[in-house]
Amino acid sequence: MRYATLAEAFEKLEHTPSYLKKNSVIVELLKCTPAEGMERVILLLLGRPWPAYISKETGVGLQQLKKAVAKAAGYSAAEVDKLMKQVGDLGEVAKQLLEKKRQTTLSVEQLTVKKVFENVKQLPEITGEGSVDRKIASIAELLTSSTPLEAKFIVRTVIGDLRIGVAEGRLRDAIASAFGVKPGVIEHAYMLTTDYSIVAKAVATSGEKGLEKLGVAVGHPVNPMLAQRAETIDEVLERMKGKAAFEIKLDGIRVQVHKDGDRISLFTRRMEDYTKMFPDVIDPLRQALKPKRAIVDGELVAIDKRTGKPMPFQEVLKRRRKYEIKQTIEQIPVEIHLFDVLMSDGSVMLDEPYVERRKTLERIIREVKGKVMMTEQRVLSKPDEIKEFMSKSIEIGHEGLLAKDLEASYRAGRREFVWLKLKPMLETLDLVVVGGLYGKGKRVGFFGSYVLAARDEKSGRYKTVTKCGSGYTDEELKEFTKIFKKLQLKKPHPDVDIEIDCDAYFEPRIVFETYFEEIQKSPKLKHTSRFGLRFPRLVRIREDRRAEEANTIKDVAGLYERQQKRKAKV
Amino acid sequence: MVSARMADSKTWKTCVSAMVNLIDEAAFKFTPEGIKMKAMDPSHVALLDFELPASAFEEYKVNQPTTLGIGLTEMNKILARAKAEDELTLELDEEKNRLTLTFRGVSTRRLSLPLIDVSEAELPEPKLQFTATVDVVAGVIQDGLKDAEIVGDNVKFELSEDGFTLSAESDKGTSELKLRKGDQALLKLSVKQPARVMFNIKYLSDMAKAAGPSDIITINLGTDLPIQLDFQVAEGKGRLRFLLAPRIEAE
Repeated sequence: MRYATLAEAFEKLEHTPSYLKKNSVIVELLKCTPAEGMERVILLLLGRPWPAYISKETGVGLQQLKKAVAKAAGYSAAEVDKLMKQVGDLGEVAKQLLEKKRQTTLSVEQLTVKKVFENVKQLPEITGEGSVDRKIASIAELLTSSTPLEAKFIVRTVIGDLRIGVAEGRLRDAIASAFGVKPGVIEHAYMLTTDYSIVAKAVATSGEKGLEKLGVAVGHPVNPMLAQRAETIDEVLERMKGKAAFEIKLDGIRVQVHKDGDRISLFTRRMEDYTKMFPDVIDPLRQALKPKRAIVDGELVAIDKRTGKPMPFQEVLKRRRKYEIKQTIEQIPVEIHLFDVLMSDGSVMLDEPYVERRKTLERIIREVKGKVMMTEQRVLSKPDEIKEFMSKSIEIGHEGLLAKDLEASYRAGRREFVWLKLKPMLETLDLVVVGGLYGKGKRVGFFGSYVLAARDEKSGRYKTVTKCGSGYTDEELKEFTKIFKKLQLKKPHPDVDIEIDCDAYFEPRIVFETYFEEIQKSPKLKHTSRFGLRFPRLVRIREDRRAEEANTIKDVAGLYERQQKRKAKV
Repeated sequence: MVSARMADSKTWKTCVSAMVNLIDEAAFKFTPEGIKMKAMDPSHVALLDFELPASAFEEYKVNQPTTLGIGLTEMNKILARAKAEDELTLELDEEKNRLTLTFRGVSTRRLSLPLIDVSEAELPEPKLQFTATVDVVAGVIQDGLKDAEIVGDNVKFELSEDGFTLSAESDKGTSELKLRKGDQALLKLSVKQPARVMFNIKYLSDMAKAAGPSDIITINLGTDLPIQLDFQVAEGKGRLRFLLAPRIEAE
């Protein structure tokens, strides 16, 4: 397959904002892609010659790339720089310069998808003496044979920013319609493999049957199963038919551990590779996991050595760093608590009931004190016992409990009522920060309170629900002010409906988890969502949530309904 | 078996040092008749064609055609260790898949490097109708290129009945080298049609390393065509030829 075909599709995608039209461009592309080259096309569509969960960089800086463009087109570095300042995108610069190429070549080779894929894929592998020049040569080799349009997308692929507006989620529908399979089937296969290139290859080669053969593999993260929320112990027992397994709910970073011989990898909920950030649990995990190959599910938590209590979630997050890992390990040591198993040696456990998986987990783990433990679990049916376990969890400093249906399979990537999280009393909502007011007294010069909004799931607009001025430490006040100054706008963001006069308006990007005591109806002129929160208080900044993942007005309305019902009972 | 002995190391040293700037690795074909190597740089701008017949060696033993993949950077480093007057022997160590280089001078030194897999891409064989050709003393060209480097990235070659001009021009200034018919450094001139073509200096100066200052370079030119540079190797027994694609002159 010629790379030109792909580049033309990219160009169409870049200039087609409509979801449906984009979809049909991708469908057309996939239909004319031979099964043998399907993986390469899918990966290049997503921007990189390796799946998203692999944290790899080409290691080619913009300056080096400029040199490659200069070399291929026969211009000087200064000329490339000059045009770059006008145009702003090196891909576009490459296209324009190759349109008026000054260096001719002795022969022209038609670029294939395979050639581009292989050359970009091997860039991270080029290391050692002279590696910079060899990388430039490898890119220039592609650019000298490419058409101007091909060059534009080769450059963008190397940079890692394709700018064609194709996110992973979009591929589900496109693959489904290209091969006449239901989107749900594609999604299920994706949940197991986390790699649309594998899914597309399988369905292109042998249709729906090909998908059935796909499964969990060590080294490929599986989309984790998630929990729904329950309000009361009664609700839990009703949904679980009177009996369930209860586990302490830890407030840390959810990670999936993959063991392949001596190699241990950690993947987050979003399939990012965190292995390098937590070297302090890698070796213990190697000892703790008895099978040669295994995938287990767990939570990384930071424990205060003096008190033995868990540190706040924000502390664990400080371990998400690329530098000064060693120093931080000493300040914030973590331990991992394991609660599920997806694969053990040869056998995939996803379809086994919870009880069986737990039994297997207990068999294959050798606990390493203070490093690798089993999550504390009890099978309970009496409300009193559940209450007592809940108090214990809170007392230790954890968040509450997770209730799990004893018979449920591991439903990769799903959030269903077979796993329920149960938190005590207070509710929290994840809300988007849209405005700020300057503080008084010792808060002068900082934003002292923030206006928070929930998302209207129909229109996608953000509507305000509260003004929150408590729950911040002095340090957070300073830190947040710094963060929000960067997002500051003169007028409310076009996606935000706000009536409150603010000192500053922000791009709706940051999510605050917020406690409150009650939801009230509010006049539209105060809060545009028509709901208001009483006694709001910041719990934490949710760095792991994007604004689109914040709670919706429907969520707020649902909580309001339940609150009213509870009140009626009392 | 492959074993070839030369009276000095100079020949290999200069050839390899000119090749190494254009290509990283090369497949040398050893046949009973001699050694050949042909390769194109990754940007498809320059082509390199090397031939050295068995007669150029003191002793040459190759019983069947053998292709040896060689990393030129590594080979160049090894050759840098040889003194120009050292006797050089190239030998294939089949068992260990290595090429051994023996330098014999005051002492006998032996270095070896591993052989690598080099993909032999199909190379274009452009049929070029050159219209002008000239033989020039290499040192003169090397000087002209060094002058032009001060001025810019590109240099213009011109051949006419009157002689040969090498010139450059940019915001930084101009440079010009002229050889008239009858000048000592201009040995042979034959012009069917005058030619004027521009090339990248970087490539040319890398190629020019293949010659000692008093060697002769044969230049072939044609308007809009690549330049062909022939360097004599081992007193004219062998040949190192370069083809370089032209640049398009900016309006």
